[in-house]
Amino acid sequence: MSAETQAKPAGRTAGLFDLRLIIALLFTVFGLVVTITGVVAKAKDVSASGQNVGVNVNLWTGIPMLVLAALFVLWAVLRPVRLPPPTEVGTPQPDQQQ
Amino acid sequence: MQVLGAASLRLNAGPIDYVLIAVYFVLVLGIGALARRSVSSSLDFFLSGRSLPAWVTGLAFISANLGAVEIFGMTANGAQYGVPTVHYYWIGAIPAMVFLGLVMMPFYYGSKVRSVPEFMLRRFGKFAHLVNAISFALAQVLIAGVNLYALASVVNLLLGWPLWVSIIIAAVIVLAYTTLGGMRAAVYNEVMQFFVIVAMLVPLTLVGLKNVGGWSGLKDKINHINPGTAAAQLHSWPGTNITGISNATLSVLGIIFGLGFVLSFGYWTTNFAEVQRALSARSMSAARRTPLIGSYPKTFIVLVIFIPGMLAAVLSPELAAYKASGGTLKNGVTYNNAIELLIRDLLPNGMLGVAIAGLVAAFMAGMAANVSSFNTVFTYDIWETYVVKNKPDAYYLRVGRLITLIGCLVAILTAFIAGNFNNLMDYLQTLFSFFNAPLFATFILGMFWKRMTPLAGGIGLIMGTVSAVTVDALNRAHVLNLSNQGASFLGAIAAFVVDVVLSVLISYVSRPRPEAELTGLVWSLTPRDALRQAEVGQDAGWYRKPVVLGTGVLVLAAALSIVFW
Repeated sequence: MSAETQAKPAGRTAGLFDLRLIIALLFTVFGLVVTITGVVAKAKDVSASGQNVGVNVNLWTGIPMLVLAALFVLWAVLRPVRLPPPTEVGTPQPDQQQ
Repeated sequence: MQVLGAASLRLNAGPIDYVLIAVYFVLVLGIGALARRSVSSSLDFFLSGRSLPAWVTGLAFISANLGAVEIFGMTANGAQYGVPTVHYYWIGAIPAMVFLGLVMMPFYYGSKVRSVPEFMLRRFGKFAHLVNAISFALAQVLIAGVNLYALASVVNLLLGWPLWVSIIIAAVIVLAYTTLGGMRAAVYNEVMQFFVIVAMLVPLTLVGLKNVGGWSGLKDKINHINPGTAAAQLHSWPGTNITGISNATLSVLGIIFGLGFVLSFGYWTTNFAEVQRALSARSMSAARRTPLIGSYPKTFIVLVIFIPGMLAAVLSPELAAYKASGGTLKNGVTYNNAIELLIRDLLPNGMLGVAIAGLVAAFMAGMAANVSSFNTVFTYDIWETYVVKNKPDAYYLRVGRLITLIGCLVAILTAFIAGNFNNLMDYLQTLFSFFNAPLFATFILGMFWKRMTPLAGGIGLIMGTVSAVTVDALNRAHVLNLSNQGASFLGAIAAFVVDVVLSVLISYVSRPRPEAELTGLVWSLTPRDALRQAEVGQDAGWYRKPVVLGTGVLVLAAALSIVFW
């Protein structure tokens, strides 16, 4: 079951970088930039075209983005990528062959 | 007038927005570079070595389709027709995706084919295979060009960049990550794009609703502004406004059979650009769960697509005026601008950058899906099958990379042509949509009826397509008086019926394939075990059973349909 107990397969699996951490990275950057913009902006509730929309969109979108990033990190930590068993990939099942 | 209109959509993008867009594209290219390390065979390149987990392929499955065409097209539907837009999802996509996961995927994944046309080859032989492979490859590469042109014209409208600059930059980025990382890079980027699109659509919907006074405020506004059509806009049934069929019963039948059964089943179950995502999954169970997992976000995402459309038509004075005129006012906006107008009016700098990144990402993911399914079908189904056979695998990997480059060049060329002949491209896209309905009829008959012959497969496909084209031509010549969407529903039904009837008739007068060749391809000739998935390890658990997932999403879609009845 766990990857640690298996011998580390060479080659193929070296590229199994974790997509969850990349998404977390993206939303950490997006979340930080957007939240900070929301906090420091002079006209907080005003859209780029100058309309008052009655809510600080940057702040209230930035915080959920940071939460999303944290959830992805948590998931990646709790359930790390398990390397597939060496037999699973690339070898067709004998009974599938004519 | 045109110039004024264009200028009015220009976004006030600031340095922060450009920084966010740049961050996004650095990650897009980074994924391509990282994924490159996992490509060592053609199967790695075209199907990422059949190794991806189901949540990744599931999100990529809907994301490949959640391109700009869908975002612009469906928000436009929301702005023009309102609630009936939900039928494209709850009647259209969801049952089809469930059907793909439960019924058809065991054949696709279990037979170990590497593409949908390859299934065609093994079931019906070369005639049907060539028809399918060539029409698909051609359609994908041209649609990639259409996507590219659409991207460039949106960037031009929003940011003022010249068309050719965006066309070349976008094509180079897509080319870079698809040739480097192949399918894995395409899929990972699609998943990332999904979250960015959601991060754009959800705030737009919530802020828009807040500004209009909530859902009841939106209903009041529509009742007030469009008293004549408000009822049709605010109820999903009978949907007479989207079908253009004034009789309520016929309209419901048109939606259920035309849109729901034939059109959507055809699109979702036979379009290789979609099915390829599921074929990249790491096991039979994960492949079957791919469309099922995708169907849950698909069920909800329509809420943040049609509601923004409706919001734009009441919040944006330009679009409201256009709608009040019945779509005749020439003030520089159309329903297709709904989402752009909302972004312009509601989002501050910062979120604006996220939204632009999301839109551009959606176009590029759409194009990448076209390119990555084109190169697979070209390499496996055309080059390896008919042109240069029996070479070592490394040769086909090289061909795959080279044809990706050529595909992108053709797409660039198509994009420039599309700029000059807009209507031609529209028509081409409609033409390609005609292939799906007869394909579905042929596949479903072929999977469940062992008597069906290769000749029936080929002729059914061609004549089915011809009937869909005929219905479309009759409607364009005003012999039939249907809306565009109504005509495509009717065309799909005609294609399906003609294909089935002809296939059955021809099968009785021509010779079927020997049964030994059809194992794994036809239901009655396949051992039940070959269609079942292992349910151990990462595929264990009741919540991973395809039937449970499929039933769950159907109940969910039915419940939401009742809410918006």
